Amino acid sequence: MATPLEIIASGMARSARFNNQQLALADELVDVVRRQVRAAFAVAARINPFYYLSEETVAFDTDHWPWPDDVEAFVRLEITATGTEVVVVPFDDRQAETVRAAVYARGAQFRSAGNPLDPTSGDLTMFYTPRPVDPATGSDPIDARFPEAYLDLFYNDIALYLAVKTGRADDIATFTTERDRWLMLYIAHLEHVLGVVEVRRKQLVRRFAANTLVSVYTGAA
Amino acid sequence: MSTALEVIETARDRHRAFNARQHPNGTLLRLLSQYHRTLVGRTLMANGAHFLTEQIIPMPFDPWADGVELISPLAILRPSLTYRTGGRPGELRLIPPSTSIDPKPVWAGWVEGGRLFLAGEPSAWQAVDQITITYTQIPAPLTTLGQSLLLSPMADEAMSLHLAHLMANRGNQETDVEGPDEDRFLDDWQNAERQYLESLLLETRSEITFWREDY
Repeated sequence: MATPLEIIASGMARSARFNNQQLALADELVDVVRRQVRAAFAVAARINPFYYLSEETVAFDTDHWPWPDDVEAFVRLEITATGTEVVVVPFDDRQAETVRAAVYARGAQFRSAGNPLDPTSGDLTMFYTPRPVDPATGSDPIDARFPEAYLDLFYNDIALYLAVKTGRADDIATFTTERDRWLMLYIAHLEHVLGVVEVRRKQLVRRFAANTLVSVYTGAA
Repeated sequence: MSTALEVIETARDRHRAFNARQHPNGTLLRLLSQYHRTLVGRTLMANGAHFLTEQIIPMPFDPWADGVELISPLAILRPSLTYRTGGRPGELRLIPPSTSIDPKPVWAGWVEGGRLFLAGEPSAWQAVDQITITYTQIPAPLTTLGQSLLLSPMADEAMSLHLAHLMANRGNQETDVEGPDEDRFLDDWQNAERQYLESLLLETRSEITFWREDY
């Protein structure tokens, strides 16, 4: 998988205007890559939460189950011993589901909702969309779970970041368009990767207006 | 008999918006429990002998003055008794509480506050070995998803459509799933309930009965 420095090099190659200029420090651009990879995972949490699905077995701690450190969005909870699904009920309506095992969320913890079927100890298996593993340095690869075919997304992010720094409106417009094009392709991939084969009896059909997801990626949501 | 969960799942199958996130199983179970009771009442109006429970009361019971508790009686169909000698069946007459009928029938009792009381003193009932009350119970509330329903599978369609109608009324907050047609589910439910109740008539079609003809 590509490293941030490789992504930065590819991004800088997008415009001759970036050459031979001290536009940004390497660490600064490595941080840009880290942020954009996180954003790409956040988009996946919204569109296809199963794409990067992680699993962690969490032990009960005094009165709660702590969340895994890298949670972006929970997908499913189970009682580890039995595989029974555990639903999450709102903090202010803990009896929202009394015929299935339930917990409620409070400060990065899950706690028993207090109804007869609810778990009060033991392990919970948590399935969730994770945040990516950040590369420690510019020479370490980005999270290998990101599909390599869409790295152009990050190249154009770097180019757009540098264009903003140079203040050239034509470059900004060019790289915004180019970045959004690759973002649309990435979103489309997340959306239709199972679109033909997956059967859904209920829940969401998950057809998104991709333009609305751009704001999730750019942080404007 | 179907379980509550089977009826709930069938109702969910009727529309993509009927998911467990918008309509939790606990909510649907409470609504199904109420409709189940209602439909049991309507079933009995169509056929009073559709489902019966027998409670056998050994004689004599004690304390005599307190009577015997009948377990959630909804409609009593046939009280009877068995004689101690020979095990012959006999008839128990139910009379109104605090009746002025006098003399009372030989074997008589009444139901008051869900308890069966027998007329006279225990000594007068020494010839009776046991009393059998055949009746319909008030259905127990549905509290678990795996609980079996009292009604036959013929009623499943009406029950699942009733839940679908209620889910349609509860609204839809999923932005990428078209909302259900409330009127359609209302019509479908009412049609299914009518068809179920009409099907009950088949159960009594071959019974010999008497009717009065007016000339």
